[in-house]
Amino acid sequence: MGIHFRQVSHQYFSQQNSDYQAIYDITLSIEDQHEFICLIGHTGSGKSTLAQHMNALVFPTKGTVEIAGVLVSQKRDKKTDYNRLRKHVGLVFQFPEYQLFEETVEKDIMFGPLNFKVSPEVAKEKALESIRLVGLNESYLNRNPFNLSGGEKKRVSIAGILAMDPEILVLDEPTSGLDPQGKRQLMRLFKDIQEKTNKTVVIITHDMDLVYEYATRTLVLSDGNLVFDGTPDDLFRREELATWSLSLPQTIRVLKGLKEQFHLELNPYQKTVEEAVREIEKVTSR
Amino acid sequence: MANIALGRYVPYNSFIHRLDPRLKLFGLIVLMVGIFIKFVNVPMNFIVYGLIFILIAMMMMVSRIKFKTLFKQLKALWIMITFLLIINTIVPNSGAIAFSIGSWNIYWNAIFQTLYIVIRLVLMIALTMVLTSTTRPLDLTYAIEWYLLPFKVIRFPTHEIAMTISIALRFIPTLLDETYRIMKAQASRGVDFVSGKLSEKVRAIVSLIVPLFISAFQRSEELANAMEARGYNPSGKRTRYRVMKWRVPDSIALIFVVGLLSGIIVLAALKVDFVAIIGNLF
Repeated sequence: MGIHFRQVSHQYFSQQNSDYQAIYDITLSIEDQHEFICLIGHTGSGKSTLAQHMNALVFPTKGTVEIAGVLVSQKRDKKTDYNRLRKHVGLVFQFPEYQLFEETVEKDIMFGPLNFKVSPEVAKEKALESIRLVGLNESYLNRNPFNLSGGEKKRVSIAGILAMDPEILVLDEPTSGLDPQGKRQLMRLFKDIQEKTNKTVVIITHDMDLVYEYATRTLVLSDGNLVFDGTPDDLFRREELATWSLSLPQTIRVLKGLKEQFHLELNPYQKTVEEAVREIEKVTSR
Repeated sequence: MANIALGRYVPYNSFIHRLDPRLKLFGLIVLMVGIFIKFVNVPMNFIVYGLIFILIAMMMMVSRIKFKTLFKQLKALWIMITFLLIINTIVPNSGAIAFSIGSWNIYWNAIFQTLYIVIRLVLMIALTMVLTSTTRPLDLTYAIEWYLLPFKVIRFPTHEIAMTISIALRFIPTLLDETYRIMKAQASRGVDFVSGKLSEKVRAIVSLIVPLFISAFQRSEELANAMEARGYNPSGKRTRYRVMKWRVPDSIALIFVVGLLSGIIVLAALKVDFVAIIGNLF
């Protein structure tokens, strides 16, 4: 099943300003298993618009999106229950902490499943399951979500989406506003979730280090066009990075610098800091 | 939902846009008074309404407001028109009977009364639209502040009120954006804002309002801190970036508006009847 974009364009209409086209003619397929996709691009490149197409929050103005077998096009079909699609594709918004509103964490997590007509007992189980999945323990379930720290709120709201048990999890800049350690923890968490549950995870991010370390596939948007679809290894070997307003990950940058400065024969394409250190040691010990 | 922009400021550079906001506010009130004045007889009333409408239509053309936006705004009036008509027919009336349904008499008076109210409403909405779409909300609050200045003598917090209004106006679009964002976030969690039973609808609205309030409070706290950090003192004396300047066109417009109102008052007071005058000519 998965999500299939077929020549999708989206234009925002405005009364005062001129109309604004967010994405152009995008064709791509996302499977509902095993993928860890990073969606990258400069600010205003259409990432969020593309992500909102993935669960029919936004309708294409041209082309079609097929979500879990349901065709979504410009025209809203009265017979189709678009709400149902949101169970298949869970979308976590940027600053998801703004969606919390219940008096306990448990109730807030149960809110999603209950909307999809899951029985309260099952929803309760799901809440317990997903709060563990995001790395918090069950003591949080009875706490007030508004008394949590920023990072904890983020985790709780992600648990709220996970409890709906979507096949594909889309996250819009989930790591923004967190410290570097928190970012890494959260990314590891998503990787964990993906490996444990076999779901596909799509993440919008600006952090190239995380992209290089975690993604199995990257999508690059530039001015609303899909300019790259492939592995991060391929991506960071491309010449056009600068024209897409992307930078290299830290590891590659440092290793490339060392290579040029000291004419070392090392392979700069190392995903993590540890691997980079090992590569340097290998070369220098010779 | 995205069409709440009706009557919003549209940045053109027309004659009316350039007029002083104080004059525009004054003009609005004066013309509204004019709309509510009653004349000798029915045809005379309609003639004057027609003249005022032509005037407002000209103002709309000058300030480049599309008539379409006005009609869009009037759509909601239909309910009110039927409601008014029903009320007016129920209230005891006298005069000529227009027609009767069974033993129920509908008088011409009732129909005319309803028509008057509807026409007045339409004219007022059009006028207000001319004002709000040609004047920046901030300029409008400056104008209000200027008119409130005399009350400063009795320690009325003029500046504070103007500041509160301008901040409230400033945050309307921000809060609207926020609302859309939260709606989308909750829709992702399976909330159906469009259909569903009443109890589901109530829950949907709660899931929208609670986060909206929380973020609004947060925002206001941040704004207050930011203002204090920049040394804001409500009782301090301050200058303005955009200074309101009274120019010659403003004086001309003022004379025109006041002249128009006096003309209307004179017509009403002297019980002038155009229909009779024209009839006497032939």
